[in-house]
Amino acid sequence: MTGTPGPGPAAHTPAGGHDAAIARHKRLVLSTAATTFLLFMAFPVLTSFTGVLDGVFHGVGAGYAAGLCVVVGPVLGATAYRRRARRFERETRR
Amino acid sequence: MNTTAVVIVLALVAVTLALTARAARRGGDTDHHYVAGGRIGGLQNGLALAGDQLSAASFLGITGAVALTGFHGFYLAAGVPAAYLLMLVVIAEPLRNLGRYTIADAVAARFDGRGLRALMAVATLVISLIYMMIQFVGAGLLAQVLLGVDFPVAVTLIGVLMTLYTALGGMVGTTYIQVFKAVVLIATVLLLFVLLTARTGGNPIGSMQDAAHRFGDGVVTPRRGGTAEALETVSLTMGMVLGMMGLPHVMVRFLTVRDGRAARDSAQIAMWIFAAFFLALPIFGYAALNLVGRSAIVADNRAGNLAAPRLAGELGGDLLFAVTASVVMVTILAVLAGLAIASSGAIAHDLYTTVLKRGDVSPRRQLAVGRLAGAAVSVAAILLALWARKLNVAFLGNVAFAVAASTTTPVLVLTIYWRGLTRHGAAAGLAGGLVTSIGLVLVGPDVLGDAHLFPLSIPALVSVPAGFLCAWAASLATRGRTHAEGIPYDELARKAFPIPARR
Repeated sequence: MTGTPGPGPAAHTPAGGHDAAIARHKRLVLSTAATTFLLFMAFPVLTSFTGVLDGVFHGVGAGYAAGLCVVVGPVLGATAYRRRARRFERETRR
Repeated sequence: MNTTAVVIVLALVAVTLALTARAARRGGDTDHHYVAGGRIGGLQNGLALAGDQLSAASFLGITGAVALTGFHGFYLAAGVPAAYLLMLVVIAEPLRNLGRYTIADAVAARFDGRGLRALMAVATLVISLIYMMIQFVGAGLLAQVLLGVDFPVAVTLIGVLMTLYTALGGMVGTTYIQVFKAVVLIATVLLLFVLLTARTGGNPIGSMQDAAHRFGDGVVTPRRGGTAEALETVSLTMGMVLGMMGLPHVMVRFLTVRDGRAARDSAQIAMWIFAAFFLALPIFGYAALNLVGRSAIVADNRAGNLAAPRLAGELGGDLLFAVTASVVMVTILAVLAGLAIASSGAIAHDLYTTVLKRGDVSPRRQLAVGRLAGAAVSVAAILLALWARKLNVAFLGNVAFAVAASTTTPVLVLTIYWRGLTRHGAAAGLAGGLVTSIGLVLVGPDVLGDAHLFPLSIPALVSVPAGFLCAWAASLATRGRTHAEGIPYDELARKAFPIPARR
């Protein structure tokens, strides 16, 4: 799906450099999105089809413990993505 | 009638009207009306995004669902942060760079022409009207119980307020109201959480543990009722996590910010708020089960929609019950204002200005049509709400997500990321996703009952791949045709992902 050409001879021109940066960015975005989606979907699949999250410890269901990760994980992922985007912006401005 | 609730509702509505008047004084050109002049900062937009998402359906629906169905209600909360992460990395920034007033602008940046824009506008209207209907029905029912107002009177008054907010305040006014509502709702939830934690001896998860102790471990563990129910859960969560990227009233918020950085900042701020909010709701659900009791919750409303205000009543008496219920009413008004802006933009900017008048409309006339469209959308939503009064509104909310995930999401994602998409592919993706999602809902168990032809109420598991597949197949079939190609893909990509300007 990421059909943008990678760095090649055209990468030596300003537009070619931009296209190469876009291609890298798209690869990162799409792989992050695919990983997020698959990791998230594992949660309803595991809770609905299997009993691996059926345990209860001190009145707290294992499903809720996994749910905590499902809720907090994306926020941490967003923080990392935002930092990376800022770093990228600083580097490209130099 | 609860007099305290009436007074608080009137006071909160007065504040929202004052905010609208303030926004109206700031000037009202077309840019201001649709996207607040593109000058909203990251923090303000983050709160407004949180305001859009923290709807009455979330607060009332999830609390009630957990109280009545245990872990099953948590699925509705768990998907929101993941959905926003996808929105942040995939759509937020390029949409901000490509769009102008509506999400159709982002697609039109690659494929001009009227047919595709008309389809995008129709999809936007279908999604927004379904979502609006839910808010109207919820507000009408709440007003009946709390304020003693008849359902038709309540939805008409709410429709008038919604029209005032959008016609006078535009997106600036809507943003002010969303920020105000988000702050008030967060403060209310925080107060409830503190009172509840104090009640359980300082243990924040004490209510869940008490529920497990009193009602058995089954209330805190997942429930399995066969393959169809499991597939329904997977389909519902899939629709939610992918549908958020295609919700017009949420996505249009990214057109109101100054730049890509503000878009990222706002999504991040909103996500922190969601994480805290959606982790608190299951606790409220179990607390309602423990303190209010299942039979009392069901007696109020079969779906448990008044569990949260009743819990507030148990924790803080009539005053906190009235405060919580009033905040929910204002929450609904704020969400409706955002929906009205998105749908009036689809009518005035996409259908009237571009499709009907081919762009030959003065900004002043476009603004006037936008205001008129807001009123027309309000009337349509009121009529739909009167018709849908007896329907299961929680089901409708998930339908809106599934339709968005099958129509606007595939087309936005493929427009921005896939070089091979053609104009016909985009149109086929929209039409195919729309027909499949709505069609499967109509032949599903929530509409046909036992005579259903399709086993799932929420068809995202089938309709989302169908939307992507239609776009892919039609693009392959029309590849190489000159009129099917839009602007060169590299040109679009450079606009969507610009290199930051050197200082």
